[in-house]
Amino acid sequence: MSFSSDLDEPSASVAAEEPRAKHLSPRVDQDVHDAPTEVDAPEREPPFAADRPPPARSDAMLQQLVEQGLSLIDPEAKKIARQLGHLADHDELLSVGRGALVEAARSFDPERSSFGAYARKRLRWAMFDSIRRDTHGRSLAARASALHAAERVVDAALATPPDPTLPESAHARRLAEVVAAQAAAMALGLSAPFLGTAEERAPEPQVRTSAGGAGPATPTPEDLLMRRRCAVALRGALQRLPPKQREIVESHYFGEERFDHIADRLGISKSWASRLHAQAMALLFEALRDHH
Amino acid sequence: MSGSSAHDSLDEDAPSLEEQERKFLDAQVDTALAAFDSSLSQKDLAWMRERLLEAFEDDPALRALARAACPRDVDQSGEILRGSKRR
Repeated sequence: MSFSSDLDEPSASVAAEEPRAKHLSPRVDQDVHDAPTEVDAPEREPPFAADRPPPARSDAMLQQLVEQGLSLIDPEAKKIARQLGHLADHDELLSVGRGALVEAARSFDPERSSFGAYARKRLRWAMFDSIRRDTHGRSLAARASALHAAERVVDAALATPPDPTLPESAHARRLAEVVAAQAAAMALGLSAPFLGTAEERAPEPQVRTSAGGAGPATPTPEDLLMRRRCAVALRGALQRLPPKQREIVESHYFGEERFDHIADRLGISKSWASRLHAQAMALLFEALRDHH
Repeated sequence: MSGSSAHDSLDEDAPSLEEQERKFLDAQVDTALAAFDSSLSQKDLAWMRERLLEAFEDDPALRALARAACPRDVDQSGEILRGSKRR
């Protein structure tokens, strides 16, 4: 299992450089200088969203950060294994985590977050990405993809703490929007790998727990059928997305293209791609809900 | 799901959600998942529900949002109960 140095990373830059943007929808960001307006194309990237180069750091400082983060690897690996149904290989996750920690130490910007929080996110996302690429079965990869997708939504959507001057109802609307986008992201991550006929896909391995029973992530035929139906419905709903959002979702979930590669290809920052992704998930949820 | 989200300056050791907040969040999650009732299996929905709620327990940013969104009791919000105009 290899670890690539430019795996997609949490979009802390949006959080730091877009302090007043509060919603998933670009149309409610109009009070933010340089943010998209009703006149601008909603998908146009504002200058503040550009990715910043990692800060220069000496070897000694890198070493210090790595040592600080070492204790995070094992708990996160165990947690992911548990969340995926104890089917992920713990040693492989540890190996990926060690590589990701070095990258986190290199790219960490102390002006944007604590190292612990940043490193934890980098570790988890690298582990998810590794599971997706070196798949041990589509179900495990699908669950990793689902968790990764939902965390990406939260990372992009919750750029700032709740504004205490706003009424509860405003926070409640925002909460509903974030949960809906998380749910849509998870549904997409879970179901997209199952689009296509059974003949087009490799057979799903029967994963068994140490006790000998079917592993908790092993899907039944009914689960698979429903995931495929869900994928079909979600893919159909993509038509309701703006072009760039549609391209991101289509390429990442149905084309299995890496998120950072998509951002490069579209000529946008990874932070902005994450933001568009979060908006797309909110729109997909609405489309699916309307459909039902 | 886990890990703190964008505003990492939030205190990760902040207290977990209270009973009232947890019930409110449960309802929010159930409402969102209802959109997938007919398109995902109960097993998948249960897994999603578990992970979504876990994310709110783990992530201080999500926790702060849930706390801010949860309706307060009247005595906490400072609202004054007034009699109905229709008698």
